[in-house]
Amino acid sequence: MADLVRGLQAGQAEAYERLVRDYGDRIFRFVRRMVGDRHADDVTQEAFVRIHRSIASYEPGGSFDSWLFTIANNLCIDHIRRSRPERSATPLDALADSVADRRAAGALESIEDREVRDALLAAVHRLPPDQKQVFLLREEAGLPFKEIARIMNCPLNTALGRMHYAMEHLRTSLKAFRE
Amino acid sequence: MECERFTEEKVLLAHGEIGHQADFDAHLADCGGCRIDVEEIRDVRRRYRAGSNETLPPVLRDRLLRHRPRLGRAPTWQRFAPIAAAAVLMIALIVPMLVVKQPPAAVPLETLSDELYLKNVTDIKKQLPTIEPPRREALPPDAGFDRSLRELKKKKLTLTEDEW
Repeated sequence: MADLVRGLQAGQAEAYERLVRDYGDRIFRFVRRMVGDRHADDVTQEAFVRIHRSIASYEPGGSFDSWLFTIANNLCIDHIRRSRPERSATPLDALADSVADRRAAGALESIEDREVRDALLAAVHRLPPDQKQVFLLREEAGLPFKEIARIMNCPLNTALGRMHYAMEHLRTSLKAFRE
Repeated sequence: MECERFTEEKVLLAHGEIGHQADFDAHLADCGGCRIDVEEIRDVRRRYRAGSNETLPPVLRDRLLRHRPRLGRAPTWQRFAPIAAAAVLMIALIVPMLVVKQPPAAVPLETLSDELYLKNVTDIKKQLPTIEPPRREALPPDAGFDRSLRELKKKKLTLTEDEW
């Protein structure tokens, strides 16, 4: 990690390629769930531009993942505030939108698995913004709750409460498949 | 939710972020509802991780790699600082050349204090060209006149009115 940061700070092309390779998928998924499918590409690209340009301000003592996803999260929040919530893409369209994604999900995926997956991702799409933010920072970014509370500028109990309600929504969406 | 107690602890437990807590552990051992809650949160997480697996689209990946951003541009004020410094320097050099030095405004003498008045007079005198007084030729002593006067005094003669 220190090598990656040093390389980025030195402006090495290889370091930037490694950043895209190692973090591209996670940041893209995080952004896509936050802002919706239509603007995911642009916001992801903007996130990488911001990350690369602000790398000098990164302090090695802190968590690099937390720093990266703070930038991505702030961009998403700015985007959501600027634009109305995306209504045109239905959740189900946003989930399995491309044939490539379907193929990537695996030909062996059973119909039931696919239905569960679609229902779950649709439920994530419908989460209230605060709950969605906590959920994605934990599940996509992999940040601990203390970091999430710091990023969201709220007490730890609040972040945990939001996660609790998010999980309630998601468990409800899966109930039909359990019975 | 099967049990309303220890909601935060259950979230932490399902995410592997909680250590040993005596009261929670004791409750969990006795409460089947809480165990179901924790297990279902874990199930949601498992299913989400399995389903959320899309990767960066190749087109976007190429775009990101092709347009690698330039490294940290300096803030705006830093980028324009040399230009601003040059502008200030030019102004500092040019303005004094353009400004014509004006003589001090005349002040009525009656408003001046004595000291200032004297100073002004002194200054004015200094500015005036020095005029040398004409040199007087030394007159030759009138030796004859002096001698006649001494002789008259000796003789105690007085001149008559006609003589004068």
